Amino acid sequence: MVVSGDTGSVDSQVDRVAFGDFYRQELDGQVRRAVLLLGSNDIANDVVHDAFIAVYSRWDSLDEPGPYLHMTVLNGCRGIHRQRSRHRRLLPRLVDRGDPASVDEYLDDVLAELPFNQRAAVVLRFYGGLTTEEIARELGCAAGSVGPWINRALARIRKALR
Amino acid sequence: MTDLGQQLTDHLRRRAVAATPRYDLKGIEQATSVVSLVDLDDHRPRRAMKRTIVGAVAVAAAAAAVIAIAVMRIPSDKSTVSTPSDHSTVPTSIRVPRGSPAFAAAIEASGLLRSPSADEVAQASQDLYRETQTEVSATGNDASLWTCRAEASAACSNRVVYLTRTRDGGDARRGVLGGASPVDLMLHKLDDRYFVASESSSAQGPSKAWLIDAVSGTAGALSWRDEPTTMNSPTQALLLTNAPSEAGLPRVVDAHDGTIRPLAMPDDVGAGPTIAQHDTGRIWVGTHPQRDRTDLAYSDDGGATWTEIALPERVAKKEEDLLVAAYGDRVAVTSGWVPERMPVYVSADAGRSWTTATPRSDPGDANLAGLYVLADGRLVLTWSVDAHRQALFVSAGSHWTELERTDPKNWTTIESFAG
Repeated sequence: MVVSGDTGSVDSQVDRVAFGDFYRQELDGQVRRAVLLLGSNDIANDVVHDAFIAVYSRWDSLDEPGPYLHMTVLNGCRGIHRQRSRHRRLLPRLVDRGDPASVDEYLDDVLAELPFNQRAAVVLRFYGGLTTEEIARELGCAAGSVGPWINRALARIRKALR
Repeated sequence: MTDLGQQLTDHLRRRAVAATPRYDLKGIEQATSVVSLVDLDDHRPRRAMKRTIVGAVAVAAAAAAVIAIAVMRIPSDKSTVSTPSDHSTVPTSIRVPRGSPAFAAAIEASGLLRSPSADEVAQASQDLYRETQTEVSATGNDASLWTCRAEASAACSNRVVYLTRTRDGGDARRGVLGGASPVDLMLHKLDDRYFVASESSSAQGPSKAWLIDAVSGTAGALSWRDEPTTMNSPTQALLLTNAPSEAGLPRVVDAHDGTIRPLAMPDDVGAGPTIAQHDTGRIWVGTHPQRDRTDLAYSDDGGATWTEIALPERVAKKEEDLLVAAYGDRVAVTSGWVPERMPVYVSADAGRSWTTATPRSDPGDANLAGLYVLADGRLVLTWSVDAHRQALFVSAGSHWTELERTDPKNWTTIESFAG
């Protein structure tokens, strides 16, 4: 039996216990998905932890923290992607990265060049195994958009692998 | 699945397995420690969330016992009644401003806003998801508003489409602003729910403006009037700062007739601060009752009548650096950018009496950058330490606690409830 002398901390301890469970349960899956969407372990961890901070600060008012976290991570990835494409447009590529050594590296490069929605749709379909409707719900778009995104992405990947 | 599909699946799985999650629960708790600070004189009971109780079942017995204690102590009343006897047992929660409920009710009753047609939703969806760049144009505590920028895509060049999404992960809503030109469209956050989009001003003032409800996704045209508001209700107007007209003179949106009007202000109003109060519509402005002196005045009726209050002498004489924040009757004001030379003056009774709140630790060689009064009465101060770092202080009663001295990009949660 734990009795806290400072009862003022009891409620926040409740938060920490419940939030800690939630954190441990969600961390791995969210980081993996963010890595696939961003291609960077460090940035993916940053985005996911920023999202956890957002969840923590609203813990009391969120009925379903899972979907909120999910959406926040996705939006965080989208934001990073937007920054990157802006940088790519502004900065000419100064250094040739050389030829990719393996098919995996080829795929990394092609995925990195895809527009965010195409990349996200590919990850959700081929890694997450989601249906078109589920992907549309995740990305907040019309179901009719998902198929063309995936097809375009596949065409691009196919071309690059040739 | 096609060969390529299988190849992608294998590749993605390999990359996913190689991901290394960084376990940093403590970092999250520290970054958000602001939410667990307890104000000394304003305590609102927390909601006992069902999720918390469900979570308790899964944890160890000792922890479950603590949770049970906490749940039992939480009053069932969800209202904002102060419970002084519970000061040490029920930490306050931060109440996120959600705009004026009365304004929302009046808007709803006016029938001004309408839902977009199915065609418009389809148009908006097409524009917003045609791999174009959409920009987050304005963010409230409840919702964000995106618009499709003309320069991003030819598809967007003929119309203004919008997308709103509530921040709790709710459904996205889309629509089209009828007759709007995307060129030079300006967006203003009216409160945490409503946004105003207006075309850029000309000599005659802006010709068109729209009100968008980011929560429901509805929108409607507003008209501009030069006559000041003469309403006598605390609920019919909200302040629209930096309106693109007449050198940024404050304007109010009249929910009853769908107009944007100049705010009627006291005769001695100066170029001082102008602040809106989210929940009640109280508006503060700086006044110059005498030469070289600044005071404040507030109105609860959309500018029809004003109550003048006197600032502490030391602040009143330093108009150029005045920094004011308010929420309801709570006002905080300071005028020095160097904290050790000038305390923050705090009033809990709309300026009738003042006390001081002094930071406990010294931010060093820094400039005061921001002052906020949270909905629950606490204060937030930020200092610019250098180009990349700011120090963040939050008050608990008359004391200040330094929370962070980092790049403010990590402070999104704090900004959101600083309003």
